[in-house]
Amino acid sequence: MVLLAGSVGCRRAVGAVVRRVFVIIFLAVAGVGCAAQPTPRPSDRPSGAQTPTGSTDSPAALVQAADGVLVPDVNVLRGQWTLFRAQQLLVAQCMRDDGETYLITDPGPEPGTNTSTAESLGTGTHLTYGLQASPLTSAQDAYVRQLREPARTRYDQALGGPANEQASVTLPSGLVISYREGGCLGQARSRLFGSVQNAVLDSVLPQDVDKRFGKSLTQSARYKAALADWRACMARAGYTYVDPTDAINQIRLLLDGGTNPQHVGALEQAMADVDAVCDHPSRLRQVRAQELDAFLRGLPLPQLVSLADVHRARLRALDAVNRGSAVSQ
Amino acid sequence: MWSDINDSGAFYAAVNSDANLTRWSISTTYCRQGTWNDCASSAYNYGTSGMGVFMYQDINYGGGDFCLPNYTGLDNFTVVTFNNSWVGLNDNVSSLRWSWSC
Repeated sequence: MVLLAGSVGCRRAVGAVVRRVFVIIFLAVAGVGCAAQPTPRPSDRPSGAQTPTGSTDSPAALVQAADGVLVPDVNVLRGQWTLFRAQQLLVAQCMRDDGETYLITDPGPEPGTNTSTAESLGTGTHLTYGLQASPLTSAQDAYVRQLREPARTRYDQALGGPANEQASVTLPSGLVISYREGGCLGQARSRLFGSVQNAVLDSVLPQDVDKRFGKSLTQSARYKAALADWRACMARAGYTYVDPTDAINQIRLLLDGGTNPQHVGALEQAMADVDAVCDHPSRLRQVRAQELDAFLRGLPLPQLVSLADVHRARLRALDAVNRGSAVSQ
Repeated sequence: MWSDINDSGAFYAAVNSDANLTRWSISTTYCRQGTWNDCASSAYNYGTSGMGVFMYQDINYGGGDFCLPNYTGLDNFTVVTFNNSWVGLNDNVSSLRWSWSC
C-alpha cells in the first residue's frame, strides 16, 4: 500500500466551524482536529503485514461487529442515508467557505423500518424494498460540467484536493482502490469517519469480503435448499426470480424504465409481502445469516479486525451526526 | 471509464445512470464489439454529487455488481470480480447506476 497524500489538510477546519453550531458540536463530538492522526491502516492487516494490536474485542464481538457491516439491513440503509446527507451538508458548507457553489443532492425519504433488503426483512406491515427511481442525472454534476477553465480546475481542487495526490488502499482480495484525500470532500469524510481511508473502506471492504462469502454460499447445500424452497414459494404466488436480489433489481428496472410509479409501488409492496411469507418456511435469510456467521468465524483475525474497524468508524460517524443534528434542531 | 487498465485507452464519461451500455459506440480498435458494453478495464468516479456508481455485469442492472464510491478509482479491472456472481469486471461491465447507498 502506498499513501502518497499524507494526512488531510486542515486549512478550512477553523473557518468552517465558526459558522454553525452544528459543525462546532459535530467536531467536538467527532474529536477530529488538525493534529496528526495516527490512523490505523486496515488495508495492511488483510495483507498480513501487520498484526492487529488495536482491538481487545473477543472473537465473538468481532464477528458481531463484522456482521453489522456485511448484512445490509434497514439499519445499515438508514445509516448510509444519514451519512450521505451529513456529508452533503459538510461539503456544501466547506465549498461555500471557499466561495464555490455546491448543490446538495437529496437522497429522498429515509428508508422506513418496513424496508426489506435481500438479506434482511423489514418489520411491521406493508413491507417494501424502499426503492426509488435511480437518479438519471445530477444537478450538481451538471453545474460543474458547465464551468469553464480555470474555474473548473479550481472547483475540482476545492472539492477533492490536488488531483495528482492520490492515496490507495489494497484490499484482502488484492484489489487496489485509489482515492483523493484532500479538499472539502476529504475534510467531510475525515470528520465523519475519522479518516478518508476509513470512509473509503466503509464501502469497499464489505464488498470485498462479501464477494468471498457469496462464493462460499454457492457451495452450501443448506443455502441452496433454502433458496430452492424460496423460489418455489415465490413461483406459486406468480413471481419467478433467481433470488431476492434479482426480485429487487427487476422492480428497480420497472421504476427506471418509466413504468407508472404507483403501479410499481403496488407491485413492490405485494412482492415484499410474499417474499416475507416465503422467507419464513424456506428460512432463506436465516440460513444465510447462519452461513455468514460460520464464514466470519473462519476469517483470518486481521480481516475480522478490519471489518470491526469499519463498523466502529461507522458507528462513530453516526453518533457524531446524531448528536450534532440534535443540537442544531 | 477507460477501455484499458491504468486509466488508458478510449474514455467514456458516464454522466447518467445507464441501463444499457450497448448504446454507446467506441472504435473497434479498443473494443472489438464496437460498443461500451463489456469494454471497460478501469474507472474513476469523478462525480461531484457524493454518489457512488454501481457497475453491473448485465444490462438492465442485472447480474453481479460492484459499487465505486465517489472520488475513488479502480485502475485494473482484471483483479476485481463482481459481487454476487464472481465474474471478473474486466470487459464485463454492461450497465451503470448512480446511488447514495454505496
